[in-house]
Amino acid sequence: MNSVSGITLRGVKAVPVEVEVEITGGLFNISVVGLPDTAVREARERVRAALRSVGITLRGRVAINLAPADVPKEGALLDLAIAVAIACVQGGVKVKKPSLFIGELALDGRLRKVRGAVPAAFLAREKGWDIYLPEENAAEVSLVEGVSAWRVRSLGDLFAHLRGEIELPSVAYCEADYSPPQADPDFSDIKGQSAAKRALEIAAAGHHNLLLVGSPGSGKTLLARALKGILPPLSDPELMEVLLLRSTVGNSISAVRERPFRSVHHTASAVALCGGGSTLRPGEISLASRGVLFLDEFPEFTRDVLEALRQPLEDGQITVSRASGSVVYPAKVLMVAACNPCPCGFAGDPIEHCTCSPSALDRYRRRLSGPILDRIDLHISIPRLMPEELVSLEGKCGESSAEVAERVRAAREIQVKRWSGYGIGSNSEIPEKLLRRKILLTPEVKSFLLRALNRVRLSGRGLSRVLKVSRTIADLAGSEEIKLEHVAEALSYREGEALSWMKI
Amino acid sequence: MDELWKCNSKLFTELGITERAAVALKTKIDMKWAEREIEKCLKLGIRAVGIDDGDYPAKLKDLKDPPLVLYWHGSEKKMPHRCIAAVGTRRASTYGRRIAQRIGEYCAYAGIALISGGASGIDGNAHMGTCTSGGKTFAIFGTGADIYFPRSNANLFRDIMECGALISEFPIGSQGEQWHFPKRNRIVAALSSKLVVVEAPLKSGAMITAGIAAELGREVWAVPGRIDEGMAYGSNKLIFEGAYPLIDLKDFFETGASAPFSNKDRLADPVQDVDLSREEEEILKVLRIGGGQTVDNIALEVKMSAADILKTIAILSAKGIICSSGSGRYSVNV
Repeated sequence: MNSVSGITLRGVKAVPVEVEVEITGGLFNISVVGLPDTAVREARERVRAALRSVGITLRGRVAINLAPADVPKEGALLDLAIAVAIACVQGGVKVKKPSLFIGELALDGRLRKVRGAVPAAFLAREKGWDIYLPEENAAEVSLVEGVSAWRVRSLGDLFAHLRGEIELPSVAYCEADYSPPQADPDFSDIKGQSAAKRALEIAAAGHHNLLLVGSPGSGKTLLARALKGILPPLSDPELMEVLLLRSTVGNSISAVRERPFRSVHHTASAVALCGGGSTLRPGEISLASRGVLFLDEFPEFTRDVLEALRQPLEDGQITVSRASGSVVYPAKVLMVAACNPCPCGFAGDPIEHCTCSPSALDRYRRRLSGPILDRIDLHISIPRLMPEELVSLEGKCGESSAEVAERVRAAREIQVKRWSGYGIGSNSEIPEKLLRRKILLTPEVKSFLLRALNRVRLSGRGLSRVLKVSRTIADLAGSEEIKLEHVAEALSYREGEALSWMKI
Repeated sequence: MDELWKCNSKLFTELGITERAAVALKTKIDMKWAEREIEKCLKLGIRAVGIDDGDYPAKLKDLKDPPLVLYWHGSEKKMPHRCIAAVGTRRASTYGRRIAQRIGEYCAYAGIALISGGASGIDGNAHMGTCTSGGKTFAIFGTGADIYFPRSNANLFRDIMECGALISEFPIGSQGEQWHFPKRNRIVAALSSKLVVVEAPLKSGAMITAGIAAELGREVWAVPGRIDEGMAYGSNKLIFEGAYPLIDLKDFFETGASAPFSNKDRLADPVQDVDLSREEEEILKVLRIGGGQTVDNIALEVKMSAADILKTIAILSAKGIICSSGSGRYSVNV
């Protein structure tokens, strides 16, 4: 038999699909079996027309079998494999080496871009197969090392290559650029807000989740976007994870190690955020994995969406289960939530007046509190600067993102060194039992904490979060010991402190 | 009562009670309303203090219409003779809330009970200040003493029950009818020795309370507010009309027509006299000139990095010397 395979996607994994073709006499008919979805079934028309464009006219009954028969097949990327399998039977084409063929066919025989090229490349590398893919997918596959891949512009070229008439261009491996990506916006583009910038630095250094509270126009979104610029570049395994996910959903891919930033609108459904659907697509939280997930207007998200976020935030991964199977997606995100202090947005503002009724305020803040807020380590209020304050800050831009990123990198290195033996990468992931054993406080700091606890009423989880943030602040300062000043600063980012002006 | 009814139903009309009211009264008696009310009280752990009771606050008798019964829900059994009332709007500014909280805290330091209305805004913050600093505080309700209104203050009310009491003249289970609150205000006014209006617009419950307090001869104080702010117009007007302006918290406790409430030593705020580092002094100096500063503003004045300023601010606010005064802004504690 031939050795023509295509793939279908199960989560971020490519499953090989062997394509078999039998042509017998009779009236013209093409049938596809092996649990094809609509897109695969419609491949019949595309394949027939594309084959005709290269001079292969189909006659008789064409039976196409996609094996294994019990795995549902999805997407148009099987077009090419089907066309090649048919050509092997009828067009005098020979595939000498087992190969993967992916690509969507145009009626005139051109190949169109598909999603799932990177998972396919991973599969080809694992099996030692060749892979033939559309020209437009070459860029993403070139980032995967050790794949023998060929870029195909049209069906005619491919057949000529397989017959040994011409040589298709291969895809050369090129390493992703290590140079730090251009921060946009840069920290120095943001006027003032040094308190918030400091909190962003801590969040980036220790991978702590963040809540920004501020009036409209105070710069919450801008600050959240700037966070991306101070995160360290993606490492190789991280880059591969990001590539896999992006390729799976067909997002554009560039050869930089910039971390993903996903901004989600509050009308998003739980499925859109966490993943699912009959094809088990990854959700926004997985697409933001290793990067930033930004939730603007945090209290406007529906209750079940926020509840659904709790588990992945804790575990760093999410299991999506449906009748058609279950897939585990990564969900290691740095969550940045932003909200107004009240429905009208002006509570605590020095100029504008809050016009909310007490009951509306109460309702709004009740939505803001709850278990999800307990999972956010840093709470920051962002002042809306008055015009005269903005003027006085003119020309004082502060540090650039690159300088901050350097400190973040150093702090992350310390953490990696400290925790590498325990299988965790950052301070925010320290498990409870290590926290008690590894984070030792001097008596002076302990008594300070005890006094503070009476004042701000922290839960047990709240206390461990404060300790983790203190650890990060100490790491940023390059101090092995956690000092009083570190704990004091960490405490000031807690809900009870940072948002105390909002109470009652 | 039954006999009274039988022998002369006209007696009621002569006493000035309308027939409808008399009939309503009789049905209540027939249904054993009082007995059932007492039973409910026992179940909820609420005491009913009658006007002839020894624990009934004597000062209430200054009123023309003192409540016949007070429902008393909490650990504190008796109202101290001298207490301070702090009242104000529910829609208070950050400034108003802060001052209310400080008044509450100072009451605790001075060992004087604080009474207020248990509403959100000024009332709630004043109660909270006293509670968290370990003082005594009493909330006078416009609902039944078992109804937490507003619900968002439920935690606060639980705290108040521990360090004081929730008091109401309305029967168990009464909801907050509109006409209850002005009636509640007269109790707040009568119970106080000094009443301070922290922030109130011209037409507000706090102004009614201040009016009653002045009629009863209580000392009325008001916290000066900005003149361009509607929420402070009422309290400013009180000052114009002769109320004491509250410009220093210590003076508030020590001066006025009545005898001083405390000696200076007791009032010494436990956090004021602590050693400060050079950085702390510097930041304090900036904040003393003007409150409501952001970290950026401070950074313009002192030569320190944002991280250092935040760290110092964190320590200063942990010591209770400065506090957050609005979104991302800091002020010196009064």
